[in-house]
Amino acid sequence: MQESSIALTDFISTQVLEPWKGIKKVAREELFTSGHRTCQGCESALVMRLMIKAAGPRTIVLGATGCMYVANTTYYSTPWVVPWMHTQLGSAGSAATGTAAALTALMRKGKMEKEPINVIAFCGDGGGADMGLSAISAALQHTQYNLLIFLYDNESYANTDIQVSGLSPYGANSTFSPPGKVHRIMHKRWKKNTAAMLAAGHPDCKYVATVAAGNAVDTLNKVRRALSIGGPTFIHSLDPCPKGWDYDPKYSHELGELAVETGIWPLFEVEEGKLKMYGKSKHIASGAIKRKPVKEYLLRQGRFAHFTDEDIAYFQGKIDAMWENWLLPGVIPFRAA
Amino acid sequence: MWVDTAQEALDTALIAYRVAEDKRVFLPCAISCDGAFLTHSQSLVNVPTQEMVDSFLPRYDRAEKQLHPDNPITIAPQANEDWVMEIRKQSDMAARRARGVITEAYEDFNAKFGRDVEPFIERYMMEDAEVALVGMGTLAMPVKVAVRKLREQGKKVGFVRVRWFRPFPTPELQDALSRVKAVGVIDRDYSFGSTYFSGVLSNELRSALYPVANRPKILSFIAGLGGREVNTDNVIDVANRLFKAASGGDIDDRDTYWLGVRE
Repeated sequence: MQESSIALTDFISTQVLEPWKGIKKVAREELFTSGHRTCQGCESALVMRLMIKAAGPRTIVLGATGCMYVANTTYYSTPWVVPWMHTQLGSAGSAATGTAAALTALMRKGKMEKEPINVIAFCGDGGGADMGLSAISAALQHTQYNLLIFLYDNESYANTDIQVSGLSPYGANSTFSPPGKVHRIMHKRWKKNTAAMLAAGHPDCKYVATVAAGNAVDTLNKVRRALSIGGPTFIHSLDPCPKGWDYDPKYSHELGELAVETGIWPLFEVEEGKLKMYGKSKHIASGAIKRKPVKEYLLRQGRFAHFTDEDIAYFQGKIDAMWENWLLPGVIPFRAA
Repeated sequence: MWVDTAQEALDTALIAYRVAEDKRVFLPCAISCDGAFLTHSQSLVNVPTQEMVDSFLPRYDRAEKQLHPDNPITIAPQANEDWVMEIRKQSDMAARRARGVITEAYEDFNAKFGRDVEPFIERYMMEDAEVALVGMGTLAMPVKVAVRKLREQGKKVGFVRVRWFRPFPTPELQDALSRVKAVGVIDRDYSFGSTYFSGVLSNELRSALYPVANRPKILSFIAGLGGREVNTDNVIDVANRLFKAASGGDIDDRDTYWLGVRE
């Protein structure tokens, strides 16, 4: 049982998962192992491994359709050492609520031994931020259940061959937005501000965080915090995807890092109504370090290869506004009139 | 699975759970209750006690499928097209086993609830019938009334109501209908573009009766769509056409007849 202790006084209490202070303290037990067929350099597979490592063995994982369903759990094989169940594309929120409610009911009726069992439902950007947004919103309102919705965001419907999702970045080349001679930029929607939207929109939700797996210990500890704090929680992870973003698989971590350093992906957590930036985002917000130009991030990826200086300038302008004009830089975009 | 009365809807719900949850079957089971005629009308129902139901339908045990950390299983992985044949074969074997399980369930149900229900079909005045009407669900009400009226006139007509559409009661229908001269299927559905542009039941029945030695003439009818009433006159009309067909009269059995359509 790793180093977590369980409070058995109340069956709806959560597991107490203390943060791990440094990589050497992290549990060695792997609960997401071999048996999957994700791409070389797949950040999301690593994120799954970290997510369940942080949660520990007394966990039920529910997976909405997406890469992490199709590529991980192929009939007759599974990488999951914990109980795992598939749920429909847009239903991570519903599945998490239902499972948490069922556990509560079974324990209340004495049909299952009382024990805090973590419930995590993961979804991709398409399943979570597009199709499943309403179900996640509903889940975050059900404050009596302990659950975590974990969104792994590789910025496209990567499993079905890279179609645009609501979280695809502006201008990215995808199967649905190939640049052409007449229209260079086919995808003109700006990426949804998902984690902040959910935090702002669900004031009773105790914990919302963004993570990037390059910061492995932070990622682990955000999951542990989300599962310990109680009630429904949400974590959004930005996962570079070699297939969809078009770069050498060995650079996944580096691109995740660059997304943070350029200010494109702010790392923050909102705990019981308090916003805290962390990692390099904290220093960007305080002005201690300067954001790298977005060009450094964009031009490393084939999906932005068609960008002209004008496109890069537009992108940079949007990111500058995010840090310079927003009410809460990197998080809340509007301000009082 | 089509039901005729509120009582049968209740009984069948118990039977359906028992069959669907049986490890030898483990297939989904749907009960079809005709809207309005059955679902929105009042009737007396004998509600069994919890003990009786528990003795017939034990609590569902998820057993090895329980989602719990002590039972770390992966449920519903992605099965790609290269597994379709094996999975379909499993469904096929389950559907074949379902026949035996259904029979077993009805035997137990009849014994425990003091009923005498035939599992797959209901036979109404079929012993000496020369022509037979076939249908599903609440169609039974007007058909039974019409059959009684015709019997009063000495006309030997019977009715077969199909309870289970899947698994299709092929042997039972072969047995019940191979002794009649003409069969009239009244479908309360329409399968556009199907053989002779008829409904699903007449199509299934035609293929079920094809290998029967004394194959009767089969006429197909469409009636009662959208909850439109099928009255006794409609049924008597069908029966008269069947008698005509049975006596070698000039009736095209390669067409489908619609009853009660507004012109």
